[in-house]
Amino acid sequence: MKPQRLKLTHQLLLSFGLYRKMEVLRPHRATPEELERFHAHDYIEFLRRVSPLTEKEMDRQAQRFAVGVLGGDCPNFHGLFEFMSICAGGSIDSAIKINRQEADVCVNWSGGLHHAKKAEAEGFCYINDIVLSILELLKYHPRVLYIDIDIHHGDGVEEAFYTTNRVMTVSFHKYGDFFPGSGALDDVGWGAGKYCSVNVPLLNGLDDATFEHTFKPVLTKVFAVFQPGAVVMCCGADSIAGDRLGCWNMSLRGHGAAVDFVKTFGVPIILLGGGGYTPRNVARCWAYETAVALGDQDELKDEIPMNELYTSFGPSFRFHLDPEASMENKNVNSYVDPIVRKVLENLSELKGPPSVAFQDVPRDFYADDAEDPTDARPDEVLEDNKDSTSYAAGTECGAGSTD
Amino acid sequence: MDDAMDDSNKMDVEQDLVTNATSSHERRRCKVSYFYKPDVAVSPSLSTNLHRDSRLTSPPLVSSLSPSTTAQDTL
Repeated sequence: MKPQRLKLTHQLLLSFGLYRKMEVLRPHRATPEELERFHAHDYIEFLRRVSPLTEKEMDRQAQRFAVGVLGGDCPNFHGLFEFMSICAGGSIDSAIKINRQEADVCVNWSGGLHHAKKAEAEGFCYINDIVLSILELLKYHPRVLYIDIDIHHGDGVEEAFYTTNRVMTVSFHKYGDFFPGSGALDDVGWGAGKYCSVNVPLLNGLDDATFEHTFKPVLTKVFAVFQPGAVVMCCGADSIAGDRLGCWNMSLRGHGAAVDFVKTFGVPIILLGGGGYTPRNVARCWAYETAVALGDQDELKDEIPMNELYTSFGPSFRFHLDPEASMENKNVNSYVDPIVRKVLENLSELKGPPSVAFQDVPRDFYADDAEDPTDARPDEVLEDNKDSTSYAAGTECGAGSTD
Repeated sequence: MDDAMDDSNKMDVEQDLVTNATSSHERRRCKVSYFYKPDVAVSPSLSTNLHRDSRLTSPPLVSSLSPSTTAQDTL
């Protein structure tokens, strides 16, 4: 999970000129109070205090919360809490922008940490920014739809909302001898949330055509029966061809087609990142999907424009990726069709969209008394940038630049 | 004179068409907000790819789901 992915993505957005067509905002740093809206207080306190220097004295808690455990997948590192707070802040800010009807699509590629549990880190996810953003959306929207196209099952989000009918989680993932091991077809939710957890377990080698053959009927039915007021998408890029850990074979166009399809329903969307372990391809994928959000994907040229990190996009220096011709797609129709049929049958069990009783709307999460005044202003347009001088012209990053 | 009025009406209609075309075009373009913080402080150790896809964990047991693991208590 390399932060370099975000810088590479940003460079593509700059060099393709996409930043001129959208509002570029600096996320706030989420406060412990905000994080504890989902996460356990003990867990957040632990994340605040743990560092490589305090690791030994906090060993028992580290074992309990699965952070910094030898051989585990969630290492302890300097700046952990700050980094995760910023990732979460962007997702919460996105939800607030959507709630205020100030944006149709919000993008936070540093978010999408879908494995984190209420009191446990997992799969390099410490804070579940997705759950936090959905909770924020639920203040204004009776129903929120979560769609996960990361190759790994979105277990943390599913578990958080497994017993409610106000959130439907739909995950398309590789299943069988694969992390995290959850996401079976029969996991459909529990209690009031029955049939509101949708799992589409798939096999190796998924290509564009099969993915489309799967997500279009499922999502069409989901929108018809659930009628969400907002959508959150985890666009993990480990499902595209050539990923270091993934085993699917989709192109950028195939992956982005899911985002484009969701847009057609006219519901506000939050696009979040997620997995993706070949950084240059992750950047390609998320830059493409930002263009999809803007409706400009067909205008992107296949040559990587010159940028500060241009050499990272070698050796091809082409934008689009070719699926691997030698990879076998094990998702044959005889495997996929019964799954889609079963999912559609389950969704038919929902008799109309669930309703919500009148209740007080909790206030928006804004840190009125944040320590760092710049972190308390998520609406602040990003104007100066020490790391990236090429887009420092504040006027070009501001709202309203639509040319 | 009638011809002049017809021309005038035609102009108005054309102008309306142009206006409507512009507004519908604007409606098609989504207003997109993009969140990015370039100065995130991270240590070099964060750059290490430690995501493991080999570990298998049990799927969540329905019986174990409660407000202690779900977001139910905040809904």
